[in-house]
Amino acid sequence: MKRENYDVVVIGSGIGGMCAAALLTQEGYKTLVVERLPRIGGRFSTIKYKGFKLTTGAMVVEIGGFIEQIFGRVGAKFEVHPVASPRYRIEGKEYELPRKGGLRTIVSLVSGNERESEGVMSAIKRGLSWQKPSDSISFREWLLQYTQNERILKTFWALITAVQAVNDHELPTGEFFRYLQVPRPPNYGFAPRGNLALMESLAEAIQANHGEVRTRCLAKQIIVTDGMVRGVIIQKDKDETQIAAKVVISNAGPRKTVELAGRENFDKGYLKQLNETIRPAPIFWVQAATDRPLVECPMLYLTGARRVNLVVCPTLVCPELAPHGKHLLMSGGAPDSSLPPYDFEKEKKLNIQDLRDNFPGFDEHTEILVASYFREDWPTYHSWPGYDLSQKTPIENLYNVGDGVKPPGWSGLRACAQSARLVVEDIRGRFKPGEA
Amino acid sequence: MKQEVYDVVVIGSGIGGMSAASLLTHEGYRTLVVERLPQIGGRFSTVEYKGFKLPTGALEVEAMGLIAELYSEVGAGFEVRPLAKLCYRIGGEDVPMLYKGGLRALLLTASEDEEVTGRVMAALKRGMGWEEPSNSISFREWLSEYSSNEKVLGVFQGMIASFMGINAYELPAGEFIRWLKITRSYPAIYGHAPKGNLALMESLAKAMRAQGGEIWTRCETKQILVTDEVARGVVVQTDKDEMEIASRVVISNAGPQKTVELAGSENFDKGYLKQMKESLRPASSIMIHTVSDRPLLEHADSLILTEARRVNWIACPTEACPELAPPGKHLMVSYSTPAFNFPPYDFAQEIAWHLQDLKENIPRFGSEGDILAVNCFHGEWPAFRTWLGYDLPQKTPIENLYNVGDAVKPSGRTGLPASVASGRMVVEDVKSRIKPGEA
Amino acid sequence: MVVVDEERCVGCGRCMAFCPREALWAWGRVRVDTRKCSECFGGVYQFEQNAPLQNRESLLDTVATSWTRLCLINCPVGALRVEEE
Repeated sequence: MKRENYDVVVIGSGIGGMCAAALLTQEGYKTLVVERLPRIGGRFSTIKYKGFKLTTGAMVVEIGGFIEQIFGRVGAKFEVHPVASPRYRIEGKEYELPRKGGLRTIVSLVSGNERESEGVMSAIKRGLSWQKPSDSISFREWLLQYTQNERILKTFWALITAVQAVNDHELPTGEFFRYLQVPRPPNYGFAPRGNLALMESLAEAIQANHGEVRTRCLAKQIIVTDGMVRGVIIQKDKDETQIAAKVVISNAGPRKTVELAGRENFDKGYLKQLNETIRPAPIFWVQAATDRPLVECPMLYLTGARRVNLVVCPTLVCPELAPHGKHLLMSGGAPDSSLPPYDFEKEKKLNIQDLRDNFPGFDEHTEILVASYFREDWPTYHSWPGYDLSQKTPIENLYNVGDGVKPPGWSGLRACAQSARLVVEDIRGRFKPGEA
Repeated sequence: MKQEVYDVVVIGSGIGGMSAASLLTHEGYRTLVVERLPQIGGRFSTVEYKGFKLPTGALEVEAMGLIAELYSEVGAGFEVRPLAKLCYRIGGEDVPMLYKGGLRALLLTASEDEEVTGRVMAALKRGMGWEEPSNSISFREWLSEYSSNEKVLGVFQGMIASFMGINAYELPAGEFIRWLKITRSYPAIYGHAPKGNLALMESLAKAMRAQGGEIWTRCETKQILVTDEVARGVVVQTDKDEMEIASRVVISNAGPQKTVELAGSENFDKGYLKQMKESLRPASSIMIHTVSDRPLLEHADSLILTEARRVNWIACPTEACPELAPPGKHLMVSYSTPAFNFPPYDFAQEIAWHLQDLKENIPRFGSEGDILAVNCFHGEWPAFRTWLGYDLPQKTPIENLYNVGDAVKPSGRTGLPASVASGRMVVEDVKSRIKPGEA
Repeated sequence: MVVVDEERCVGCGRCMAFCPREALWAWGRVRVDTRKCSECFGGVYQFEQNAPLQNRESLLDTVATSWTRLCLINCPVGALRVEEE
């Protein structure tokens, strides 16, 4: 078997793994990223289909936040065109909300009763300024103590599923408050050449700093002896190579990491916690070709539908994503239970019904390009918010990054970036580059 | 109903409440402690019985560390005489606990095997330096992956039961590592208060009063006043009458369940009540006081048993502090933990086994020891209001209503320092929210 | 006489230590020696034998009488109460 030597091996080229690799190479750590698929980016990438640039997962890109900071830091181009102002469709009308106090405005609009909305908002305020409510009940159960108004409950449900990917009765209350306290990006946007272009720009920065990214390269095993990680065995075409490394970072999800390193190397407590904690969050989503936008605003939250909570039309901002004269319309909706079993046909029916009900002329003007039902090993998040593991595994120098180890309160792409940042900080505190 | 106004009211004068109260007084807050019983100190106090000064719960005090720091900060006298020797009894031998390399020496004596000792120490080191084990399994379960030697497990069982009042198979694995890390970070020298623990508490009270703080004993709190989910004071019953005391902050050292009762459970959000119900696990303990004309322990004045049925710790405070007993008399205090820290308990059986352990481990106990008193701790007056790792946060859902004490311990801490630490954390939060006199 | 509420009593033994007449014994649970206890309580009546029945409450006032009630007031869980025979 061939042998090679690196400081760090990163398994998986999702945004978590690539951010970790970019930061590490910039600090001088000799880093290798191995990606099983022919294309990098994982669920933040692009597929070309019938002339459209379709996303492989993330519908929008966060601007002005952590992701952009990391790109800036490592000198990678971050070409993203912003959405002017997302809108919220409430009871059939569309609203743009103020940057500050947006939540209060929505609750007031939906409630119509000052005393009721004041009650809800002051409870939320207390949760932020005094103490986060306990995680022992769901957010919905908590909110029910302050209002029984179905419209308010439905609005929170829609906002939570759009951002947190789970239902209001599944999100631990404390996690909702932690989410509000963690910095959120000032804006969202779309990459004109698709998300893959952003990942390729990150790959360029990695390579410019003497790192390497290998595609079609499967990690077969994480080598562990005496409770410490020693490296990875990879396979490309038919050849196996043993890569010795001081540190291994897995972006493959915590369950896969255990499989690769061998269950027998993990202590019972971790395996128990993994089993009991990790809950992949499913999502049903649609990408459709349309001959007219069907929406005015490229990013629209729906608050009154059965399933669909977010609809985006990136071509309003980046026409290059579709053939000339065509538009791309995407929608996402969480099933009413984020636990299996899942009913694909039912979800498809309800999501499409929502689109028909909310966008007159949907059938006449649209052709569904792809309908996806992300779940299990390829989910919207590897674990529900509030159900994450820590980035460290019990095996010394073996870390996880990505959306199965989101730091508390973090969601979206920035959660993956933050998990990567925490891992890089820990590595920096433990060894210098080249200390192999 | 008479009325009064304070910045802070503290319900209960246990070490948690008194820590918070003395620190707040020291920082200039107008503070009142209300204590239901005639004397202060709760389970860190003294009762005199037949000429002996008996502890009402905790016995040994850390001579350096959080408690000493607190006393120094508020200007209270802190008189503690160090122990001569702390030993672990392993295989019939009394092995001294050294400051450096102590744990390794104990494990080596227990296992008589360098490899096993090395393996366990390496696993502990990894737990402290790399990543704590998960709390989803008990420490015993975690440890058994590295050694199944009963004597080795016994060392940890004795240690855990003595310091934390629960069994090694009840303590979450991560919590043990956290505790070990904190404990090893400073010299753990233990000692006794020569005039009894009540004297130490009175010293804290004196410092507090000297700075304008007030402590009312024989004063029972009937209600915590809450409006719109904000605490605004208490109603207390003194000998003479009922009084309403308005305050900006209320700190309860009465335990979270009592706090909920006093404030009214309708004022607490469901999630907190659920968490409280599911979390709190009071740890129970039996403390037996034996007197004799000659010291009953041969080689140590503090001894942790590692292979007994129930008894985990035996201490002879009169070795360092003869003043705690009538002249020429010796006091021995022994602690035991039931096999399961869940009710129902059969205390008659537990006491019998405790005494059996004493007979078997202390040669002259049967012939020279006189049982002076048997104290049981459980339920509403437990050894600890909750197991390590099962604590609640200090803040309640009601604004400006806090808990302190052994049900809201910061992670990785036990005993007296844990309650002091909980008091400090509350004080820090109070300071960040209100200034003294802002009524 | 002093009566123990078995549900509430934890057997901590404080009452035993405070009782001036050694009328209480704690061994897992607390037992009251009725003879010794009655003597203490009964002593109050003998002392105030001419007090009208309506004034019994005032007899229980710690300042006015020699009955100490130390067991009751020192119980941390409120497991003791007084009952008439």
